[in-house]
Amino acid sequence: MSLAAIQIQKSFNNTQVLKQVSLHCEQGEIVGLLGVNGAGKSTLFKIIMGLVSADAGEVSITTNKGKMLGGIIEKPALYEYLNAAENLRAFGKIQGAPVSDAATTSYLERVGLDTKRSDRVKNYSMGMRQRLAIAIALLNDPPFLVLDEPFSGLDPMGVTRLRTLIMELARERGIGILVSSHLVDEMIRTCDRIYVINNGKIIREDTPRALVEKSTSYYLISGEHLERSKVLRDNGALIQGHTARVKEPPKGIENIIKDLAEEGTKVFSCVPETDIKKLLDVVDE
Amino acid sequence: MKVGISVIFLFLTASSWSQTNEALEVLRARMESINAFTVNVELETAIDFIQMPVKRASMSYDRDQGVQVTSDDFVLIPKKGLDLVMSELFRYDYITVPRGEEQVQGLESMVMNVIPEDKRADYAIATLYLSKQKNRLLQADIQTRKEGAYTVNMFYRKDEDILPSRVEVSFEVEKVKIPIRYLAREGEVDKEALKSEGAKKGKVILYLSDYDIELIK
Amino acid sequence: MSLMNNAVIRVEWYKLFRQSRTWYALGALLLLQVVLLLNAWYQGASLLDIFLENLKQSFHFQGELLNGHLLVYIVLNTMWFHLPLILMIVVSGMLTSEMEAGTLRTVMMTGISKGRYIRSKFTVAILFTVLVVILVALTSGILSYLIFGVGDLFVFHGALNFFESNDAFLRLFLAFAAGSFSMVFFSVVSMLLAVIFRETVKTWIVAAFFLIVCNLLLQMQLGEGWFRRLFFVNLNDTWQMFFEYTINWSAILWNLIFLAGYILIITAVGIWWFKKTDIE
Repeated sequence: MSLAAIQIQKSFNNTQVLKQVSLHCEQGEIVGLLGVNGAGKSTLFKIIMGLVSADAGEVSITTNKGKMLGGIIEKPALYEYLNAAENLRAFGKIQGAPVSDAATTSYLERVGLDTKRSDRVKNYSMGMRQRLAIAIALLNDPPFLVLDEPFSGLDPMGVTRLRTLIMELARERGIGILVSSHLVDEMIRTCDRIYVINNGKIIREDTPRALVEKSTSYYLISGEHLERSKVLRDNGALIQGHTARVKEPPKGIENIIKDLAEEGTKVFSCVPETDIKKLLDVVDE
Repeated sequence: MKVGISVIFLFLTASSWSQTNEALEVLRARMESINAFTVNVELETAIDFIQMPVKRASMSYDRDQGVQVTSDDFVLIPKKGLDLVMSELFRYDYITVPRGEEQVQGLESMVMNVIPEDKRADYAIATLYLSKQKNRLLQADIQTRKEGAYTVNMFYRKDEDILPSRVEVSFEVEKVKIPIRYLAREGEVDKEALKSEGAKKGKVILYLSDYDIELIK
Repeated sequence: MSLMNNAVIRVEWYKLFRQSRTWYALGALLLLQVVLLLNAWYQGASLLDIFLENLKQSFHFQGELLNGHLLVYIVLNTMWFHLPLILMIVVSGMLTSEMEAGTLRTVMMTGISKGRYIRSKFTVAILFTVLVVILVALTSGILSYLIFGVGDLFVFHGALNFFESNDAFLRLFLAFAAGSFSMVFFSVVSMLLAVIFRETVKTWIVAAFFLIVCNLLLQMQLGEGWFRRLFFVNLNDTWQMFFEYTINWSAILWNLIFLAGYILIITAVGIWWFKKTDIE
């Protein structure tokens, strides 16, 4: 079973927003679509979901299941005046999914929502809405999920929980998931494979590891008494309290880490500071 | 008892005067023999700007209380012409003037004017058409003092009936004023009709049945 | 009710009545009923005076003309703006609110076909409209008859027409039934406008504009011959024909058939338009 968009083209008012876009996603795979706002991510996902018609190209899904796709586009849109279970039931009945109490409870549990909560969705946080929207997308157990900007508007805790949920769905249930975002870090942490889209064109398809390298020019190193470190000073690091921002040296970040260890500086973490612009600029040239 | 006073006019022949007078006196005697009656009425309104189904009512007359009409429905009861026993006509002294003969309802009838001598009378002059053979009232044209003129035509089912089975009261009705805004779309109002207010001929037909007449013994 | 066996229609119906706006609309209608009845009573009394003033010179009246039938008739006459307006607001909101909240997208991602979904919207709009007309008829009838009783109905329709109580009741009932065709007409128009304009407020403005123009054109009685007869604006006045003294059944039937034709055409255009447009 696989989901593929082939040579998709789309224009709005003579502006081409998608140019010959192709991507694919296999079962159990988490595929990312990375791009800045306005790159064409939502339009592509709308075309994949059948909401918008493409000018050219096709979306092909090879599966024997009735409902092929579930998804969230732009933001989780729910009936604010209904509670979580009622939302599930309303959307479930429309597509003929099982909507018994047991069924709705199991969907709520699957996405980690409180099954006892009976107040309206109006009061829900963005994270809870995302989860409920995913539960709705999962109704009738489609083999593929399309999630457009699922991390935006979430607090760090919410981001982590959502990432865990996405990975569980892919690993444990074998669902193929297509995720879009403008957050390079989250994409690197979540996806197995990432497409980079810019100005309606796929400019790169890479593994997260390769993308980290290409998109990172600075690293954030946190540790104890960094201000005393000669290694950091020599590499031109900018030190603020327990954190130092250092440009990746030609010989590689791993050498700085090694030098710091030898020097006796205690390091807690070293995080690449990714920059989406870097990914885009490189190719634009 | 009121006594009718007759006046001799020079231009009338004595015989025609006595004939009309005699006929009217016979009619009056018959009418005054009725003490009370009740009757079922069907009222048909024949006025061109009113459309109304035939209405049922019951009418009662009592020498002391006059005419009363009651109905469960909404009914338009003509103010004039329900006085079947002509009590208003004979209430005060009057004079009669013969006016020759005419055909009414296909019957030979004598025509006479009745003029009250008392100012309290409600009418100014009445023209009566009396059937010569049957000796009863066929038509009365009555000019009231204050409420305009009206005509009553009476039809009888059988020769021996004292009271009519059908009465047609014709009179002038003033056209209704139509407030343009209400109850009709402006496009529908007949603007000509609206301008020509003024009077219209109207007629109410009473079908009378099941009389219960109480005569004076 | 095989219609209600359709799960999508049931969900739409359920959603409609779970939204507070629907209840506000119904509440507003009921309040208006009370105000309109007060107005009808007041108007009725003065109407009787004006119309019957001259008749009083020639006739005694027996019976009460300021009764429940007259009030219901006056309510019928006065409801041709606010009732379609409220219906258009609720009905167009059924779609525009989903477009604006994005739930239409969520619905479309469940795999339901566009055609099936918009058909269910139109169906629920029509059912809701009929329900509201029944509700208005019931409330105006119950309030009027309880407070003012029954009697003859008099109306001005070319002439002063008097109808006996049972006849009046039947005519008022039929007028509401014919009126519901007009209300359904306005409702499907507002659904079509929602399909086209997508935004709630924009759709309301266009719907209100449409309604105002219809009312003005109706008063103008535009056109001649067949055009005048078939122009949808004039067809919306069909209910009045039940208050002609002799009911012209075939003319009413044809008017309603044409009105039903308009309703079908507008619904078809709405479905076609919705199917051809992308979900944003």
